[in-house]
Amino acid sequence: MPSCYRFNVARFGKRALAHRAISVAALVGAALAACSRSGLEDLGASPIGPGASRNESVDASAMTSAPLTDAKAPVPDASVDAPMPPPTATGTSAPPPPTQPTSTATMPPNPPRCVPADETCNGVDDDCNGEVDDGIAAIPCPGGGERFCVAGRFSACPTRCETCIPGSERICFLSYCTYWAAQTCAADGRSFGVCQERHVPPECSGVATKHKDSPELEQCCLDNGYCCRDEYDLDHDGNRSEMLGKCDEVSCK
Amino acid sequence: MQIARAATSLAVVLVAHAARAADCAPPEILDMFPPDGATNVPTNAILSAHYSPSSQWVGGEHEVVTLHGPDPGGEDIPVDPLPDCTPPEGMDRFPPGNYCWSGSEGLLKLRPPEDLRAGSAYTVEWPGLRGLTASRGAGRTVTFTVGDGPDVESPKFAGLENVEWDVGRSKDECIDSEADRFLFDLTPGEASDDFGTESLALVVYETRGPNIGPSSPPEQVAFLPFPVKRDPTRIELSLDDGKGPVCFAARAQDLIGNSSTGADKQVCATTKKPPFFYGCAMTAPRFATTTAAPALLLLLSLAALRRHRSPS
Repeated sequence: MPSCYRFNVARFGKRALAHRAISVAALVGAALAACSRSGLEDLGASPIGPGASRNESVDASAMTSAPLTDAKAPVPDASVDAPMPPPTATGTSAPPPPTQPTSTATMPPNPPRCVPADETCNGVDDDCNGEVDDGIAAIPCPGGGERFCVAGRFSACPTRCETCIPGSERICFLSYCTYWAAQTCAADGRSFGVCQERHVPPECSGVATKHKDSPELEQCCLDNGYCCRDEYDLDHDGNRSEMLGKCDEVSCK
Repeated sequence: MQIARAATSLAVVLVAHAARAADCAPPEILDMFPPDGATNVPTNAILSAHYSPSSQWVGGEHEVVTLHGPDPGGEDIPVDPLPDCTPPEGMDRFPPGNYCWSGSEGLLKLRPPEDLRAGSAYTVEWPGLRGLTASRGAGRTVTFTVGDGPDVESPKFAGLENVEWDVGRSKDECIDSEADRFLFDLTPGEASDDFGTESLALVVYETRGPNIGPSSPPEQVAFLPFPVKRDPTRIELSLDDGKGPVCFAARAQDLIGNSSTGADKQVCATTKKPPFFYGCAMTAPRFATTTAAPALLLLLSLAALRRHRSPS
């Protein structure tokens, strides 16, 4: 038995020694839990590794047929809001079940015909020609491209990328050390990388020293011509993940 | 002396970082419409090249589009650049004899001055464009053969038929770490056009997602050549954009810009964000994820031992 153990047992007693061991273990456990990233809230579900297939393919029922009632009556977008059929064992979906009335006793013997009307972008075959939302002109966008009728509504104007221009950078803020950091946009323009610490530029070093990670530091970032993550919602729109400032070479819009 | 060494080391690291960011995501031509070797291009075709998102067109002498034909025996056909693709008043397209850059679409479009000659071959030289930094991508040349007349009908498309999803992780050269993405394999239905499907584009939209509700405008997520033999097309989304219930729809577009129906049909899936554990590193440099936890344990252990020994 090590001498440090006999000494400590004699001095503090076994119970006190056990308490100290438990405290250390608790500290270590708390540190590890604090270091965990998001995703552990999902623990309990079977973890999947890269490459593992989760084939859950579902076909939403499409509004391909004319409604049984008045053609001009608004019809809910059943293609999305309707309950989706469960996946089959093979990972592909079975064809969606045909639309059935809830009560066969009330089904009329001769369903009313489709009443033709002008086709509009609503996911319905308004003109009863068997095509949904056909012949609807696209709407030109100011920055180029057009909006098309998709899934019963007009699409957004196209953008050159999804989240950010690949390789571009924006400023973000940390709660320690220099408080000033930057994120680089991924090569596919779909996300930013992690916030990595940088040296504070001279024009904001005083603000960083005095106010640390703060709205003042973000304001200094904006005032000095950087593209800055709006972590303090300085524009008061409730969005803390957007970018403010000189972001022409960062933003997709 | 030590301060000078530290400063030099820091400068080297910063320069290396800047160089890496500058070299990542170089501009490139992703697709061309019609593709190289196309054999049935309509005489009234508008030609285009699709560039990567980092590409920028400034219209300099190195960013000229060249049209040559009709071959055999053809010559360079004069075409002029426009500042953008906005149609003039009373027109639905930009004027013939011009080319223009649509930055929001990433398309450089060329409209020949007159209809292409049926049965002849033409060559287009698409220029390499500059990226966010000074590096310029490579240009590409495409040669195609014209069909026997103009395209007057819109393409037909049955819509998407199936979606399967997975999660992928790959090293990203810009952020110098691994990027997680949802992968969606979309199977298109039957498509047809009066000039065949080889020059059709498949335009895919996300119609439902974490940021797209049932009444929100669908967002375009892909513009690519229509798959040969209806092979599945892969779409990638970030974990934030593809988590939970997601739906897609698509349309086909021909060389004139006519769009098909079929975009009303959606395919949906419900994804689940994987439980990846990144470790204890605050800024997640690669070495820290493997050494931070053991180092922390060691420090805590030493502190506990020292505390026991000190009151002697």
